[in-house]
Amino acid sequence: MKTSYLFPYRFKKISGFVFLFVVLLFFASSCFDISSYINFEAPVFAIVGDGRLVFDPNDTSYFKTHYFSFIYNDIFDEIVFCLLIVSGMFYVFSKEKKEDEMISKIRLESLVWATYFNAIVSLVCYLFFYGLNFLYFMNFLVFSNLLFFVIRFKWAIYKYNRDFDEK
Amino acid sequence: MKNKIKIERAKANITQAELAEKVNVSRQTINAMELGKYVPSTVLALKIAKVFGKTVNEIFELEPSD
Repeated sequence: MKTSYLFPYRFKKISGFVFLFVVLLFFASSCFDISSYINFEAPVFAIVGDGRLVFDPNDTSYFKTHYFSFIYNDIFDEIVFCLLIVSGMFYVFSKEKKEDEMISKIRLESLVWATYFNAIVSLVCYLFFYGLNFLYFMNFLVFSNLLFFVIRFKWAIYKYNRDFDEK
Repeated sequence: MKNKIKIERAKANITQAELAEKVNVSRQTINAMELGKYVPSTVLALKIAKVFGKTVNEIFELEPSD
């Protein structure tokens, strides 16, 4: 079966390693303040952002909002989330070794399941997390759908191989 | 949906792996169909029938629950 929305199989392994590594890095950085050990401050272009202006040495305010300007920012989270989303998308949407129509069905079922599960987790989070903790959780929600999908899909593929792999 | 893939395969004396290769799916998918755990698409059903030189109706049939 031809599926035009999937990446080739060769992306699977590398994107899987990167995704796993960055997910672990994300949870590690939620527990430990990595930015206090390594300085990730760099000039960035902000459509909207709080921070010091790059081209204005007199600007010392960290909390003034600037529009469409270059500001200084800690880019650790930018690196983590770019890697998370890109590697996650490649991992989830690259073909299996033998991509046939049953795998496609398992993939779509897992996607539906992950969307439902993510919605429930989001609801619980909105109702029972408040203040700064809610913001931490919002970070998790950026990639939770991908993560839930990976877990559900891998489990379904494991079952598929276990139950139907004989003779 | 019921199917006679296993019987036809025994008659033709080909393995799941050989059939899988002929219709371009994995061996597990052939096994799942034989166990009645997966209903193939029309294209796949037609391909399987073609391998055995039969019509789709001779290999696949509806069940009352369908």
